[in-house]
Amino acid sequence: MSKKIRVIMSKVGLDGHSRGALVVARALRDAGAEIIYTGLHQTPETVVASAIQEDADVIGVSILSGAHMTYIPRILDLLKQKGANGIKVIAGGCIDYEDIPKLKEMGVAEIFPTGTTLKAITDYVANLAKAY
Amino acid sequence: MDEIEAQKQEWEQGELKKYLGSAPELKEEFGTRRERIPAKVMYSPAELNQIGFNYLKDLSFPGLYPFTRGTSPSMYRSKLWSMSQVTGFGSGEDANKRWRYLLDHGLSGLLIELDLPTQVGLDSDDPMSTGEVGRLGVAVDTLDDLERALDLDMDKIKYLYIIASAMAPVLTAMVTTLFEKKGISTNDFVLTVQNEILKEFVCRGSYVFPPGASMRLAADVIEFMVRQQPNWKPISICGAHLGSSGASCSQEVGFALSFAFSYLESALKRGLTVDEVAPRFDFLFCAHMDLFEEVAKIRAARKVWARMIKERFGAKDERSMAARCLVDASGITLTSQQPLNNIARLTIQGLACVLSGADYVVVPSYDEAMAIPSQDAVRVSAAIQNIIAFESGVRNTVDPLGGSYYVEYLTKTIEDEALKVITKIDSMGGAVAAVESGYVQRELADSAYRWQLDVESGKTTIIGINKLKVEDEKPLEIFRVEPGVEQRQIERLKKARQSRDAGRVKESLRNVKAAAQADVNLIAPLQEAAKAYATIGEIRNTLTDVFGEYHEKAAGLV
Repeated sequence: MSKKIRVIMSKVGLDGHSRGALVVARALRDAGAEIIYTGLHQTPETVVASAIQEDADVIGVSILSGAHMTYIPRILDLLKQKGANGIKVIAGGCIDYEDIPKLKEMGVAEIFPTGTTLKAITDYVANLAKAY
Repeated sequence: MDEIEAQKQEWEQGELKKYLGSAPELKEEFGTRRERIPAKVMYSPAELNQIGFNYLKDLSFPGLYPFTRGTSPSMYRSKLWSMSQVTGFGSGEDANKRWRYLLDHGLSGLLIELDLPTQVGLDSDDPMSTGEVGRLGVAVDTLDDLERALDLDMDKIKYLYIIASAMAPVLTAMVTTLFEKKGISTNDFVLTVQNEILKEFVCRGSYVFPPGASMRLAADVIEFMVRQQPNWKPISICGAHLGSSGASCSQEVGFALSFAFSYLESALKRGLTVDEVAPRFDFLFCAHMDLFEEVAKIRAARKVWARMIKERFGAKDERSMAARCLVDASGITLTSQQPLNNIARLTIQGLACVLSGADYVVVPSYDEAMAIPSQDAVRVSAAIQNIIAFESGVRNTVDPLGGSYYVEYLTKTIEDEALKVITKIDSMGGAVAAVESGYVQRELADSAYRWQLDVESGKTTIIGINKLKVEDEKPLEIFRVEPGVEQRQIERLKKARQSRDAGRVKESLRNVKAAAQADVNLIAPLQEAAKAYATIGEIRNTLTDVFGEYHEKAAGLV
């Protein structure tokens, strides 16, 4: 990775299943990114605050509960409000395929649904690094 | 035996070697999928002899210590496993409709999934509940919601399992109140409350109170049900979730049994005896894709439990030593790519459940990598269990894989490895200490990462993911929770708050608080609160006032 991309890996809302988030976080760490894992039960407010405080380039949202259309738009709104919408939001988990185009239209940079390879995610972040 | 060993070596040096010359093996190692036990080319009595296998000591007969072959003498010839599914969404009526459908289409058991707010004691109108109400489980704010959900012909149900752990005391209070009201006896069916909080800290995340208070609450449920509800099960020890989080077979068994010992010790401190408590413990394990490994794992689990309950806890009653297992044909192996392939996966895993001698079996649905299941998908899964039961012949004899040289070798290997895991947890001061230190969590994260790296490298094959991929698939029609559910539930909750006796609620919550502070069993005061239609949020807040809230330490997991 040409620039050390800083990623906040977050679990938002009440969903407590962290396996995917931790595996992806490790893969990004091994690929050269700087990873901060927020732990469970974050709110859009705490995630955005962490991202700004940590000078993050990327917010990763892991969500399996189906509540992604509640939380992700709120994260995007808050980033806009705080003038931080240069931070890229990527998401993974159980994301209804019909919501993927909607989320991208709202400003999500990329969605990595179940079955995505680690390589697809680390390549994406590595490409971001090149763009800096 | 010497003759077998001698001829085996002859075969290895002769026929096998010759054949491998022209047909070399396609992989360097043929390891079992999760435990990574290197499989030999062939197993014979010689292999079992090498590991000291003894039929009477290691297997005995079904229904006898150490229960390797099954918990009853004639298993499915006398009583089929309870065919069950995990199910729930929306409000009471929505869940009720699906549950009636399931009971009419070949199931006799329901595992009730509560929505996330209910799991952690948040009312449907709590700000933290927004977007989550009724989404992956049924919303239960008050006793009224549970009553609507469980408006069922209870004669059709053999097995009812409430998936509640942090809120197990509240759900126990609610469901026992409800069934008392309906005049249902504990002999009518098996009710189980999951009540397994340690796995929440480690891999599921629906905890509320700190570990010490959580163990006290778990013991309250165990004590209450042991003393007051013959036959019903106050705890289901969860190996399955550990398996879904990446645990190897020996970790699944070793960690789960270590957790079980901690709960047992808590209950014994209440003055109950091991023979009063241990027969009430049930287990929930998973079955993944390597059928022989999973069968061996469950048999090993029963064997280890039997031995440790007898030797470590001094149990005298055989019923204490027989581990009744719910085995779940796990959804974690399913793919959202080519979802119909999952029907094959669920069949293999369902077969593993049955061949392992499970007392209860859950087969999830082929669309569960994408969403909670559709009605069509649950019907197929109910059919899978019935096809296994009535078309395949596997129920004709007990433990049909018993005596397989390979399966017995795997069983003994996993047994030995699981004992090492238990010893390690012992050395850390037991399960609660191991969980509080983050050790179990780190082990799971390590295992999960190793698994994924093997998938990425192609060492572990998943059809549709790293082999036989299909681009541009037509997307499956999935189940979507109706958007109005949350608003309707919130309105119902508001009405419920208005139409109850506020004084009675207040009084009942005061009593809950007093019991919490005084180390008095909480279930009876919680039953009064349930009858007064206290909300789950009001009860949670009363308890967090006393116990505080747990905040996980996220360090060291990445």
